[in-house]
Amino acid sequence: MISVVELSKRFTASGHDVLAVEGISFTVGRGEVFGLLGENGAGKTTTLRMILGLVEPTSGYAEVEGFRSTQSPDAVKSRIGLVSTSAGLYQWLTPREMLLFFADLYGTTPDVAERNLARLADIFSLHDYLDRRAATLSTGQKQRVNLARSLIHDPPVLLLDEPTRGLDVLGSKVIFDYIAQAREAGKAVIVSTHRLDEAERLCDRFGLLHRGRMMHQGTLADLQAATGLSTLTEMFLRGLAAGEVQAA
Amino acid sequence: MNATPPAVCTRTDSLYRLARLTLKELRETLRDRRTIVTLVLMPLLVYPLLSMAFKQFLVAGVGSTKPIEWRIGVQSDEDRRDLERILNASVRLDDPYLDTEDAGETDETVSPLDPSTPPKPALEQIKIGVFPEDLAEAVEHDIVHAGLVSRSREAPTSQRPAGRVQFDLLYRPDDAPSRELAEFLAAELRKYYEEELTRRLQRLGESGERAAQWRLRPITRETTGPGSLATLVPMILILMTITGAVYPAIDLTAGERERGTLEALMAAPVPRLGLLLAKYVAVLTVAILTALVNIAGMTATLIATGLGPVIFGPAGLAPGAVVAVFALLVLFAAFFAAVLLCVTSFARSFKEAQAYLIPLMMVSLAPGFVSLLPDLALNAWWSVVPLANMVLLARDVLAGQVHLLWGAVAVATTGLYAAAALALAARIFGSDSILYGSEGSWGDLFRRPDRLAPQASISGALACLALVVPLYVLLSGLLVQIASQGMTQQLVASSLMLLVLFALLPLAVARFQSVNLAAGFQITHASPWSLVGSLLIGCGAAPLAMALILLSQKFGISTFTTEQIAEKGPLVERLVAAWRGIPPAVVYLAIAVAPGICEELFFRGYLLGALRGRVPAWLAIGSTAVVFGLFHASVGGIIALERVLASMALGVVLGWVAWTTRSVIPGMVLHVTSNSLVVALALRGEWLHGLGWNLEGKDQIPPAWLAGAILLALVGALLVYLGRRTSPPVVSPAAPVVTPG
Repeated sequence: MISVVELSKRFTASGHDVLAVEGISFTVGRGEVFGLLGENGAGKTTTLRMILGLVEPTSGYAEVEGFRSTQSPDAVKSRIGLVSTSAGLYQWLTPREMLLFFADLYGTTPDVAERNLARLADIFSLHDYLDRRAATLSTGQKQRVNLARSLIHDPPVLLLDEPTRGLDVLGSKVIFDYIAQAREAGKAVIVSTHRLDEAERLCDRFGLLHRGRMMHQGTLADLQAATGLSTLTEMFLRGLAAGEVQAA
Repeated sequence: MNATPPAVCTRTDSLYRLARLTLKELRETLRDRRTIVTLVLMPLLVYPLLSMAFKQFLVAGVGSTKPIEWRIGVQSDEDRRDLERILNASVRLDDPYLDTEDAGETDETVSPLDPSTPPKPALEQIKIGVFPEDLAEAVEHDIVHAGLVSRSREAPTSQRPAGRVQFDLLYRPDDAPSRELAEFLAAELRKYYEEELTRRLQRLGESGERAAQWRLRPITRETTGPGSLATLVPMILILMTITGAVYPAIDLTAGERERGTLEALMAAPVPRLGLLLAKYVAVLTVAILTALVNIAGMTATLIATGLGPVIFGPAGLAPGAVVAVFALLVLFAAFFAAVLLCVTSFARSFKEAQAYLIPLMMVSLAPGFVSLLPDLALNAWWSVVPLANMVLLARDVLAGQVHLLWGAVAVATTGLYAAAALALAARIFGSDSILYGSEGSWGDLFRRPDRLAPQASISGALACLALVVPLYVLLSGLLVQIASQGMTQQLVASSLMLLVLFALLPLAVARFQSVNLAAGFQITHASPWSLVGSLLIGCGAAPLAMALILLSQKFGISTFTTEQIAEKGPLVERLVAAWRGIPPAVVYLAIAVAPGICEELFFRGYLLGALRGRVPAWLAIGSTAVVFGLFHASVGGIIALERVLASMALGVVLGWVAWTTRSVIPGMVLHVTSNSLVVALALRGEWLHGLGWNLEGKDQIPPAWLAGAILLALVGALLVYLGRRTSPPVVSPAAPVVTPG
């Protein structure tokens, strides 16, 4: 469902070339949750943006359901729900207005949009503030609305970039519960997170990124065999300490 | 929770979605209190306050501009002595009055004799000059502040009323010192002659009539445009319109990025241009609403305060002018909203956008304030300067003194600038370097694409057109300046202008845009059939164009009357005679060949080439034909409407030929042939007369000519069609750049 092939991105910042992502490849199938893990600046967010078509790759490509993000960006975008760490809300709109607006952008018919809205409001407990101005919501409430916003068109692919940032334990649980449901529903999910313990419990496969390169890739058992370590946290810390860079 | 396939959207759905996107942007913007404050509250406060300040300025604010020397003009030494005696008498009465009989002749709306006027000039500051012949002119040109004409002395001695003196007081109502001095003189005359009357009555016991009468004669400057006060009003309206557009422009671009909603928007399957257009329409709508509220507030204030006639002259503020100025504000808003979006799209935060806009506002306001200079006319230069052209045009509209050509140029260039700014904004809005990267900079706007493109982008072509139009207007004005030079020099200069504007400049722009020049300008091989066909159409085009011009005149679509055309006859004859005085090759090269090649390269090569494959053929051909027609509308600084239709029709034919053959060369053949025939008719007219073919004095083309021209054009069109190219020429990205000779 998602294919990433030799994807690279080179930026120029302050006159210097920065290789944000360097030739990474992986696939994610239906009903699979792929954890994209790595330190800040490892290239997780850039990779997700390239898959979505928001950032043009320097080389390589990404495909979603057979559509290449550089060639058919609208077809790719219509199949993806993005939850971003930096996403905000329209301060002068209510969550209901915003969710229906985004449903419309994705071409969802009004009656389907209403049904999806009711379902998501149930899942994320939005009913209490569905008609309040977004500026008055708390951080956690905003994050839930954002999650609902990315799912309002019921996409087959989910890209979640730090979906639990700013959420309390209960809020995080709601998110991870939803990801589990999405897997059951046959969606392909890529999660980028710092919550390695949760990721370990939730993801089917992992990709460990370090300085733009894919250090390790596979199931937890694969990674344990490759590194000789038992947990993702240990692997992550070992990788950072050693500055280890290995091709997957 | 089964995944549903995404809906497939038709073009109509997309348009409706775009409309809903715009509505959402408007809803978001109009709910913001800051927008409402700028939109409603500011005009409600600004105009009453401005009117108060303005009245204060009229009444008392002249102190800073009060001259050290007050100059009064009279017509004779006798008048000067009389006036000196009056002024030195320094007698004060408490109840001055104005001659009611003559009050009707006073410009009552100006009310210079308002009792609340400021202190009078000191007598030692007054200088009296004698102007026997041209006193009114001296007042008009500010040589003196006011003039005193003795009507009694003007009349023959036998007709002078005994014991009575009558004066005309000349002054300029639009000049504060002049008004003040007139008021002072009126008061002094009144006091002097009332005292004189009292003395007479006491001495003679007469109940005689008033000894002196005076009337005020405002002198308006006929030779100059409206005053700077009339310019100030549109300037304020434009500034307020800008103010209304600034906040939404920032909020919908940089603000959205700062809040983190822009990424979610860009992640939706809506084209970037669609998102930008929705934002543009939203900003434009708020700007138009601001303009509407401001113009309503200004009109209401002017009506309520009676300041209209003071600012715009005796007729005051005409309703038609208000509507026209509103239309200009809409046009200006369209331009500035695009500029604002272009600039704010670069910014990553609200604060950064504000930092970008400050220099933009400074740069924008400079020409606006320059346009406040008195006596500045809307001419070739100012008609292409953004903002200043709208201020000056709005001023002229309010004063009812619009110059049609420069007004049209101002409107056209502003529309073009708006399109170019929007095209630039589309290039940068939401691009990944702007959306995420720290490397996004103003340089991105002018960054050359890495890959060679087979055709120019629409935004690139618009930007080039926005560059060519003002330069064309300016250089055409310069050509008029060298009219005193020899005909050869004029023709060479004209050819050079065409070469630079329509060939070298577009080629340079396209080269900068990494466009393959051969493909981008459609400089490709054409079949012999199409070349022969174009030659035949060219032969038929000249009479058909002439027939269209005559038809336009017949239906009243004409700038010149029959009498005016007859008056121009000698001028045309002199021009043709001058042509005959130089080698014919020079005339043909300058009038037929150079325009034929250069204009085709630009209009059908570059512009039409940029539209090919992106818009329907009818729209591409039609829009370039309209632009082509408008370029040919000006004749000697005047819009000749009768030429527009014929030029557009020729533009359609040339566009069809270029579209059909996918080459610019057949169009060049057609254009050069058509132009050459016109030149030949001019140079060798007597030869045709000898054959009995003489158009002089005829209001239609002879039917035989028309039939022949139509036949030639049809046969030519058939040949062009037979020689058409159905597939684009193969262009290799690595192909060497071709520069046409």
